[in-house]
Formats: sequence, C-alpha cells, structure tokens
Amino acid sequence: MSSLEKAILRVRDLRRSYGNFVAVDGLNLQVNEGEIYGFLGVNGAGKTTTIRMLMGIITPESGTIELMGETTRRTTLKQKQKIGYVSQEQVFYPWMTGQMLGKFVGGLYPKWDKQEFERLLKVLEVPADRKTSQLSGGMRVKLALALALAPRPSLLILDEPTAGMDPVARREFLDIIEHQAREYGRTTFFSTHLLNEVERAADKVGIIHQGKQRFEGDLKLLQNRVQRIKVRAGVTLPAGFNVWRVEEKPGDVEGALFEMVVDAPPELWATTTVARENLSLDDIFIACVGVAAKRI
Amino acid sequence: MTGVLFQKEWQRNWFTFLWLGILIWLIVLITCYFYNAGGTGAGVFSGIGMGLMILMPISSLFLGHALVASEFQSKTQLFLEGLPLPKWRMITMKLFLAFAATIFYAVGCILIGWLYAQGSEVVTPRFLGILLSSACGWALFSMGFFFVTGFLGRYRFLIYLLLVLSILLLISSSVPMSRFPPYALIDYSRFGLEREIWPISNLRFTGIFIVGWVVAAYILGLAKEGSISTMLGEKMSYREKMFIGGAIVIGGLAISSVFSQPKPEPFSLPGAVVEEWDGVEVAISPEDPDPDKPVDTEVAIAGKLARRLAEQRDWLGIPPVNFPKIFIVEKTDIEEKEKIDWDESLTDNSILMYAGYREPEFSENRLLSWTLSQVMRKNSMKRVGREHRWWIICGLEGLWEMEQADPETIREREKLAVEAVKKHGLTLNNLWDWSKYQKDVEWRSADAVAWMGMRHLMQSRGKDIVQSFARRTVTRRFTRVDGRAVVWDYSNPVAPAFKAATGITLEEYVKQWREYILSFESEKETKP
Repeated sequence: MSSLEKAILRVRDLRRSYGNFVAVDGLNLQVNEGEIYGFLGVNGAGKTTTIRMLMGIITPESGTIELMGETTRRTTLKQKQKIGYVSQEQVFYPWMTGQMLGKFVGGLYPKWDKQEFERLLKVLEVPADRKTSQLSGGMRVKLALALALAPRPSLLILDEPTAGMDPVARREFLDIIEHQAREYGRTTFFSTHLLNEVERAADKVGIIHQGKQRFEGDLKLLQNRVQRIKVRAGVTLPAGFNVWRVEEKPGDVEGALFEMVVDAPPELWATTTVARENLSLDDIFIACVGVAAKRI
Repeated sequence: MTGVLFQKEWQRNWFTFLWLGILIWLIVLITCYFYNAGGTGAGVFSGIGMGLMILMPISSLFLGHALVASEFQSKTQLFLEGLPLPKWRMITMKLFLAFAATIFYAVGCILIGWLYAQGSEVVTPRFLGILLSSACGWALFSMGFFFVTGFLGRYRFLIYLLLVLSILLLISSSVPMSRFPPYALIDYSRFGLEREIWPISNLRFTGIFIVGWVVAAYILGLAKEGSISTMLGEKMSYREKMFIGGAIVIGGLAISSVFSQPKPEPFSLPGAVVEEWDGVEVAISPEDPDPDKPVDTEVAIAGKLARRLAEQRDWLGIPPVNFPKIFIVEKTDIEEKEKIDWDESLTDNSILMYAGYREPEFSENRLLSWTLSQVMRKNSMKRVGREHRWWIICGLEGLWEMEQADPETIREREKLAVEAVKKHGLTLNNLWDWSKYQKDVEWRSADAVAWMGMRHLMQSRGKDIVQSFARRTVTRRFTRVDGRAVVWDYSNPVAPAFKAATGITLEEYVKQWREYILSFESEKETKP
C-alpha cells in the first residue's frame, strides 16, 4: 500500500462467534478512499457477520474498527450516517412508496440530498410513487441503492446486493456501482460469492473463509502470486512458497510428479526453475478456500 | 429523527388507531345509552367500567400486534437496523404511541360517560379524577402487558393461552380478585361508585406493574442487539408447533380437570325435620337436636314454608329444578329484632337460613320473604343484589311479608315509608342508588318504601303486572360462575323492563309512587 493512500475503513483482529461457532476470527482488512473492495467468500464464510459488525448492528467480541479516521469497537451513529448500506435482503415497509421511504430515511441523515435521491430514482428507473410491495426484486435493490447513495456517503457497503438478480440486472447494477466509484470517487465495499463480479468491478479483493482472512490485495497481484506448479517428489520448495492446495498426489513413488497450487511473492518466482502455470481466478479461489473436487 | 419515527408509525398504524377508537367509543356510547335509558347516573360509569375492563385489554392486544409484533414478523426491523437509528429510540416511540393511544381511548370513554351523566348525576372534579386515574391505570397496565408480549413473537400466543386459563381458574376459585390491583381499579363493585377515596394504593401497585412492563419491553427489544426479539418474531418451527400444541392440550386437560372436579358435597342437616311440597324441600333443625324432644314447631314451620315457597316459586316462574333446597337452623342469639339471618358461604344448590323461630318477634312471613329473596340472589349469581335491582327484591319481600299482616303492622310500616319519603324524598336516582338510600333512611324504612311501591303497582295495575315485572327482572337463573349473569344484567336494564311490563315509564311511576306514599300522611286508616 502506498503511504499516500488514505484508509477509509480499517479493521483489526475482528472476532465474533455465535455460541461455539466462530463466525469471524481475527479478521484484518483495509479499504482505501475511492477504492472498490470485493469481499469474497463462499456462503457461510463470515461475510454478512463482518458487514453487520461494520454497520454496528452487532458488536464484535474483540478487535477494532477504524472508520473515517475514528477508531471504535462498535460503529457509532455518527459513523453510520456517513455510510450507505444495502443489505442482502430488501425488506421495506410494503405500504410505503419509494417517495415515502425516501422521506423517512432522509430524516435520519443530516446530509440527505433529496434532489440526488429523486435523480437516482429516475436514472435507475424506479417508480417513486409505486408501493414497495409492487416492486420487483431488482427494482427493490435499485431503490435500496438510491437510498444508500442519496446521503452522499463516504463509504458504500453492499452485502451481496446482486444475489437473486438475473444476469442483465446484475450487469446493470455493477455498472452503476462502477460508475459511482469512477465518477464520484465513491469508496465501495461489497461482498459477494461471485468471482466474475469481483473480477469485473473490484480494485482490491479480500478473501474470507471459515471466518478467517485468506488473502487481501489487488487481483493482478493475486494472479501473479498464486500459480499451479508440478514438482517431483523429494524436491524441496524454496523458502517463501506457501502451498495452498495439492491437486495431484501420485503416491509415494520416487520421482513422481506432484501438482499443487502455491502462493509466493512474484519476485520469488523468478528465482525458481519449477514449471508453473497461470490460474484462472476461479481456480485460485477454489484453491484458496480448499474445496475438494467431488465426483458423483 | 423523532419526527420521522412518529410519522412512520403514524402512517403505518393510523387506521388501527382510528378503528379501535371508533369501536371502543361506539360500544361505550351504546352502553351509556342503555344505562341512561334506565335513568341511572352511577350505572353509566359502572357500565363504562365493565366496558373498560374488557375493551382495554382487547385494544391493547391489537395495538401490541400492530406496533411491535408485526414489525418483527414482517422483518422490517432488518431494514431499520441498517439505518442510523438507535433501537431504543424506535422502542420508545412505539411505547409512547401505544400508551398515548390507550390513554386517549380511556379518557374518551370517561368523557362520554361524563356527558351522558349530565343532569342525572353530580360528577364532582374529585369523582372525575378518581374515574380517570383508575381508567388510565388499568389502560396502561393492559397496554404494557400486551406491548411486552408483542416482543415474544410467536410465543405470545402461549402466554395469552396461559393468561386465559389463569383467568378461568381465578374465576372458578374463590379468590377475591376485586382486592388485588390492578383489577381492583376497574372492579365493577367500586368503579363508578367510589366518589371520595382516591385509589392511591391500587394506583401505586399498578404503577409498579407498568414500570415492570416497560423495563421488560426494553430488555426484550435491546438484549443481544435485539436478536432475541428478532428470533422470536420468526415463524414457528415444526418442533415449536408440537410444543405449543402439547402445551395447549395439557392446559386444556388441566383446566377441564379443574372444572370437572367433583362438586362439593351437598349440605346436610343431620337430625333435621324435612318437609317437601311440590318439589320444594325445607329442612329445619333445632339449635340442639334431641331425638327425645318434640318437633311439632319445626314440622309446622317446614310444612307451611314449603307450601308457600312452592306457590311463590310458581308465581315467579322459577322452574322447580332450579329451586334450591332450603335449610333452616334455629339460632337464638340473633341480635336483629327480626330474628332471621342467612349464610352466604354455601356453594351447592341450597340456602341456609338461621331463625330464632321460637322468639316472639319471629314472623313466618318474614322468613318466607327473606328466603325467597335469598333464592333469587343465589339464582342470579347475586346480580339482583346490585343496587339497580335490589329495590325490586325489597318491594317483593314486603309484599310477601305483609300479605297476612295485621292492620297495626301494616300501619306501622306505612308510617315508616311516609316519614322516609317526607324526609328524604323519593326519586328515580334513589332506586339506582338503593344502598345509599337505605343508609340515608335506615334500611327498614327503605324496605317500607319499596313495599309500598310494589303494593301500589299491584293495586293500581294488578298482580299480573307485578308478576310480569318480577319475571322480567329478578327471576333469571344462572348455573355457572362466568360472565353470562353479568352480560344478562347489563343487557336487560330495569327501566325498559318496567315500561314493557307496565306500559308507563319508571320515572313517571316513581312520581305516582311518591304521591301514593305521601297520601298516607294525613290518613289515619289504612287504605284498602
């Protein structure tokens, strides 16, 4: 990270459990100003729990959250007023219209921009006078996005916003996010389990699995670091090589080839002669979360 | 923030607030109409008390659902928690609206009663204050309870079920509910009648309950970041359905076992002389039963009483099966000059009277009349003992007692009535406030007034009219301790029944009755 980059959100050693189940375990992450951060993880990895802690909905057991330069254990009301949030599930009051909802939510934000909200509704083609119960799932997410953007937040947090959307709506939604980030420098933190979304929109990615952080950095770096190699049994890997996943293990035969996914700093790759192969993001993610192939 | 929260709740619930208010006030208006038609002042507030007792918990149930339970059921709290909105503020606004609405309803009810009582009753600021504080105390208690249970989501139904079962158990038991706050605030034996004493102690206890509900609401709403109420608000799982189903079955069995408990052993009087006439059984026992002593007196009294009770039973139209057994025990130390007393604690279908029947002051006619009034009290679950009907019983008692009285006794009784009316007058309100009238003029004089009223009715309109009036007002029998006797009582006011039986209004008749009594002032001789 460049020292010039300003962190909008910095999380240190965040932990939260439900009974014996540890949902988030010592999580660290940093989101810089103007960045789109893709928070990647399989279902149940701990993404929503993390976001609920960031939003102050639940309190972490330990760790700190630094939001816009202010460090707290639990996000305060003032900090929340600077965050735009789109939850995983859009549960609005069914009797409210978009306009009524805007009036209600607007009363809770000091910097609510009514014109911006109306503009967003127009741009997103959400009928302002229609009851939310009569809106489609995609429309509801767009309405939630308009509600999240109208207070002109310093940070936009989206919890799997495209879940349940059809491909067209999903693309449209990502376009809006990207446009907001590029045009207005809106810092965005969004969680997803869809790699193509991260690949398309994110500047930086954080991978979480079983409550623990597996990777944080930009995507190109990730692809440069994680590669598939084939090594003969008995060969010792140089220091700094971190085996993520062994894909082929031919048995205890001398000279047999092992196939594995390895994470190493790009500079170390130049020092080794081991045959290597670049991986797709899919492969990297699967190796990262350690999912074994299943044959039915 | 407070403004938008208020606006949101108002937009969401205004219709519930409105229809509940209209319904409550409409019911109260109808109640007042019936009671005002009966010319009663205190009765208006008694009716309102009954209304508040039932309507406040019902309206609180709806408000608790609309303000709390539905928020969690529809999961809209998930939307709210993503906003910069503290949960405590949300709960406070809901609590404020719930309490404000319920107070508004309660105060509205009292004001309706006040408007209706204009001209028929003096409503002093103190009386109004007592009514308002009692009504608001009860209303806030009810609202607090249903507000808290709103946070229990699906489990609130189990709580309501337990509540209903508990109420049924309490009704079936002999627990004097009217003594315990907050129920004491709204108890019909006090609400609308108590004009002087502020219910400080009851209000204090009710206040403690209300504070308890408020604290419980905040705990449930905020504990574990509100996850408890969120979790409870979800739909029931199969296991929970089974659990609640089981609880309902067990509760039902428990309550049915309580209700099907063997009835208390019938009262018996060993060594008593028993006489029976046309289904009426009278048992008389001397103070010290001795098999060697003659029982001629007992046989004579029992036989005569059984026969006359059977006659009057038929005249009143009480079916023979509904007529209780009569037990009479000799008692020589009764202080009252009438030498008759009774026991109110018997739970089975019998009446226990005490009589010093060997004393010179004893009168068989009086024993007959007082026994009959006890029969009607028992049959009506004591409803005829309420003020607005008690004068009828006193009048009928007088008719039976004086039926075979000598002219001297009759003249004495007439004199008592004349003096009472001369001194204290006689108005319709005296009939509705009969206990107070009895206190003012002394109960024997009040009885004399009632007797003369009934006698005049019989002389001027005929015995059949008196019979019709009695059958319409005081002979109804209720066999179970539930709300039916109360509902019947309130849905059959005396004044319309009088008009239906006699063709004239009770108000008009009271004037005639008063003039009739005063006409005896100058007369030396008893009228035929």
